[in-house]
Amino acid sequence: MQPDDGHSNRMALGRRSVLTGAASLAGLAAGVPGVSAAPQGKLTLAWHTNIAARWLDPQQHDGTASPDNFLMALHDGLIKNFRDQLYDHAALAERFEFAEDARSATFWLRPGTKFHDGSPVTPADVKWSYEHYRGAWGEVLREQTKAVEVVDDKTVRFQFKDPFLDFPILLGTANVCGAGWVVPAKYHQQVGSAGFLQKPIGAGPYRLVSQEPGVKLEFEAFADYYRPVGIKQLTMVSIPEAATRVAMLERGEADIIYFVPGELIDRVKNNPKLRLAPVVSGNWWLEFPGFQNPSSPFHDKRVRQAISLAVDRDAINNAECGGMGVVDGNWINNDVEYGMEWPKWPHDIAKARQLMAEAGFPNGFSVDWVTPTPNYYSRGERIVSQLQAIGIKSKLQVMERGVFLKRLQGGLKEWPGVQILFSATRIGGTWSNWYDSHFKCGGFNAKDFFCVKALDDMFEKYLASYDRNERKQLAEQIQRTMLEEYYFVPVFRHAFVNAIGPRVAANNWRDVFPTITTGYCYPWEDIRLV
Amino acid sequence: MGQFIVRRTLYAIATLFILSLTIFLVVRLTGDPVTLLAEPGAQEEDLAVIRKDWGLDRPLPVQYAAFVKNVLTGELGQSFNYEMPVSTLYFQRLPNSLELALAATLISFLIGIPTGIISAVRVNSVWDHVGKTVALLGLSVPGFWLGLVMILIFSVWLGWLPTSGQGGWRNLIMPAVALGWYFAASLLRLTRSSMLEVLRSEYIKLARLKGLPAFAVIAVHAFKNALIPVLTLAGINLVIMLNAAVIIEVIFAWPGIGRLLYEGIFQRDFPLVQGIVMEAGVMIVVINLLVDILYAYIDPRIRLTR
Amino acid sequence: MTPLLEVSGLRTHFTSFGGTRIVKAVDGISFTLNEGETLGLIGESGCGKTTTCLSIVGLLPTAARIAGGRITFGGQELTEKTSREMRRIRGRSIAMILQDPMASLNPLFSIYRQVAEPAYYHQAMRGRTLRRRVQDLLAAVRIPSPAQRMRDYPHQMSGGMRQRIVGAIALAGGPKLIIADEPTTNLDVTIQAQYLDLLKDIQRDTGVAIIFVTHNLGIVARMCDRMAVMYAGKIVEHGSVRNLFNGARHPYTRALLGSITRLGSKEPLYAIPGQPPNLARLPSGCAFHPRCPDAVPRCSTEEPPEEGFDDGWTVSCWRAAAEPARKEYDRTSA
Repeated sequence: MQPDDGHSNRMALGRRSVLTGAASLAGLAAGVPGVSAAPQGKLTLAWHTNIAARWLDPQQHDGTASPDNFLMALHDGLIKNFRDQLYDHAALAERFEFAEDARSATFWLRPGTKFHDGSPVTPADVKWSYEHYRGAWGEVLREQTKAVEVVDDKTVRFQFKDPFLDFPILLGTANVCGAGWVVPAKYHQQVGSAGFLQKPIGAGPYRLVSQEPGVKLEFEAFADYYRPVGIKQLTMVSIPEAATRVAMLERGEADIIYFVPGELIDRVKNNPKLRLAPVVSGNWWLEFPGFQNPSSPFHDKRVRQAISLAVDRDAINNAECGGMGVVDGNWINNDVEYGMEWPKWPHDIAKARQLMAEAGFPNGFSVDWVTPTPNYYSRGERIVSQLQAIGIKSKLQVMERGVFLKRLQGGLKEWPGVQILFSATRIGGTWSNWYDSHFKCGGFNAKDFFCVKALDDMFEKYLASYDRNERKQLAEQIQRTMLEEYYFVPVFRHAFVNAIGPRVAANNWRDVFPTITTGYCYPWEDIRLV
Repeated sequence: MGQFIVRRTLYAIATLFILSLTIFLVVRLTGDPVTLLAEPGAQEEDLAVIRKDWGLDRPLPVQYAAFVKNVLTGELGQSFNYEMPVSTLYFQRLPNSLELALAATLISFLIGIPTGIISAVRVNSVWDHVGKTVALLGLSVPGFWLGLVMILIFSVWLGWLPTSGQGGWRNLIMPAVALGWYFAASLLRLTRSSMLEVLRSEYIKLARLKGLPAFAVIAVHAFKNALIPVLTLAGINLVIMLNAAVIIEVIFAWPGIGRLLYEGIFQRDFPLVQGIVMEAGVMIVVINLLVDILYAYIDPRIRLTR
Repeated sequence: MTPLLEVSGLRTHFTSFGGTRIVKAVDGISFTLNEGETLGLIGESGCGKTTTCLSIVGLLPTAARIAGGRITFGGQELTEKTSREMRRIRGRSIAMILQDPMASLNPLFSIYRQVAEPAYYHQAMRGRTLRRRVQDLLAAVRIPSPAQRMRDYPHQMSGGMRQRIVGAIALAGGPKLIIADEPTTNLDVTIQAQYLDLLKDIQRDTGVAIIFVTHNLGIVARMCDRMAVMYAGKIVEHGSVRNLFNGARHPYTRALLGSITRLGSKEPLYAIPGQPPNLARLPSGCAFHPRCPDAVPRCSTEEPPEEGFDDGWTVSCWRAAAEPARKEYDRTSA
């Protein structure tokens, strides 16, 4: 669902605020097949990495597409991404209004919403959660926010210093930011963040009954949730070994599993009782930290172009996702605001070698590490071997996701030597979230990697502009430059291939994975068993 | 016997003291421990806070005293990732690892010791070769391959056993076999060589000269004597299984300490790693002490010597 | 009177290197032993004494086997018995005492346990009867306070006591024959005498026959009624101790007797020149001929047969028939 083109900025925003009311009602009615009966049955999800404790606390959202899987079960936000709504599904807020001048946003809380301990969700909780949020984008939010005002016992108003156009998208995209997710203020203060992680309490459709830290989470349907909840007992287990996950699915020990790696896709495909759910998900690209430094081998555009020509994108797509991913041109998804289309890149080893020679590396050079986003190590291996064709010798670096993310945030000093990152992200929102996070100087995941002043200046202009046309032009110009200059080398948009077992009710796999902004199968409350 | 136990316990305590000193010094000699205790990407202010919290700005002997006091009270620091005390995490998972390790030890005994005895008694016969093959397979078949193949055969094709996780006794079988077979191999070889040596001894000759049935000669006389080095090995194996059975724990999603250690290392969760290593060290010392006491129970020469 | 043990033409061979090498450890020996008698089996190391003993009890190592001959014990042919049958004889009718008392006893088991075993397995004794039996046995070998000591462990006893315990084990089954393989070699000289006295007393009380393997002729003189001298797997002379000590017929026997030192003697110590032969490569003819001072050319080509003299005296030597028994060993012609 793209915002309309061809209207002025303000009109579009005004229309948006009207749309939200309708959207919230639509959201309530849609996606709930069958009669709202009492929750029943048991569902097990086999999660594909370890479970980081902080993912149970929206206050510590790390800006990645991982915590949202858990937040959507345990917690709830004012507005959130839901099914085909990108960010503005009214959840804890019954309705909201984003001022036409973009200097304030008002939320009216849904009456009767409660936390799992029975206490009501109040505006004070909303205010406290927002102001104490210390996760991704927290600084940006705090800088821009003038005040959070509790208007009355069901209304909260946010006021901004300057027009803050991206506010609703930030607040409402669960795989970007957690500031809009409401936690019980008194309880959180009482137990502290460590205590909260051990016994988290939220307002979501499921409450946490027990956990083995890092291993297993057991949830039970929350009786007082304002939407009907299908499954009574929801279990999420951490099963890092893919073959074990598939075995569990085959045996019925798990009902939904995430991430079936390339070599196991056929096995699931050939089993008539199981269904693949190939969610076209995050985009993958190669980035070259420190390429602005003249001594970096990536400083020369021809080298970067050669690398782009050397990568066999179709091969990676076929091997990693059974061909179910999408090979297109841009590193930014085309389903975000101003995300641009770009044609598929050519694959030409001969030309690549020629360019390398022209750039002064006829025999290639050594790269210390190629690091793929964990835990997708096999596709990192493919890049390593593909680059050998043009003489680039490198090694694969393996690390846990949590460390990888922390290192990204740490900047160049965490990545000494000559390094290539095979990055990916699945955030939603608008193209500017991508740029801001991953390329801009000082960005959350970029820090001092790139710092291309010309583009960053253009980006500042974009942010300051309220002219819709100007914004679009700037957005496209920045993206075009990035692609033509090969600052990033896009690879492909992968399919996060999941699998569903026979007990789950679904005519089509999209019934179980209805939310287009994510590869996970929320909203959890809507899943039913056969 | 009592005197012996007291003496051995004192030695154990001395060893633990040296262990703690070693860990303490190594961490500090190889750089600033604050950077280890801070999360990667921490700011200078965070480092200063940590330095103060952990007392790393105080003189070394004071730090050591605090370290020892912490260890004795079970205070092993706070895990970054879990934001929980390391000791809580460790002792939460310890029973799981213990369950797996004991089951695997039992399996390694069942596979390794009788096969080792048979190999020794029937040297160079068919049985000896079978035994050596079993040992070789156990050592060379990679644990993850064995685990996955077992899951495939017994869980998926035959449907007899659950794939993974901790649960009833059925969940325990495959991981215990996958883990135990490897250690059975070393037990087998040691039992075999130890038995061979014992069987050559004079007292075995005399036992035969007494006309004792073969069973009594082997199972009673020879076995007890051959057992002594085997026990030491079993003790060491147990500690390894408890702390480092990472691969098996990951494949079978067993919530044990090995997996905790592996996650801790990958996540650069230093307090967790340090805590587990300390505990592993303590465990080795304790188990060695127990094995020594077991020796004394078996071998009268040890317990009756002053 | 039929002899208790009659060995005739016993041959025991060791095969090695896949059957290509045969060592004739025992090459056709014959001797008899009557009830209550003590036979000394004498010879240098490696002459086949221990192999003879192991052949009798049927406990040869896997590389060895009895290649021929007969061993008749109490009227039964031992070479034809199954291993199970031999097991019933071992430790019961025939017992053996080994050389090293510390190594013979299992360090992990109590004295009681080890002495009780033969009675436990062979006579199915249990409980109090068994305990009393052990005490009696320990008393018979003159262990002081047997009731306490049987709870002890081997390492808590002295060498002499351990060897006596081994003796008690040998007696436990009520044997008719005890084979003692150099039982005093590892004991102190002062203890040796006590031990030998003990053996003699036991023999007098129980009437057991003893084969005493030794290389010490002094012991033979003290303990044995008859003696058999072995060299290179054969018995070269066999007769009563009194006869042989008064004048032996085989040069080797004379050499052995001549090498006994006498207290107060001022003569230089004497040793037989040369080395015992390699059993895998024996000299032709008489095996002793390279070292024999009386050798004649015939000795190097033909093996001498066994010649019998009165009183059960046999000798294997070409010179024996022609010459009388001599006491003095002719050193000058060495």
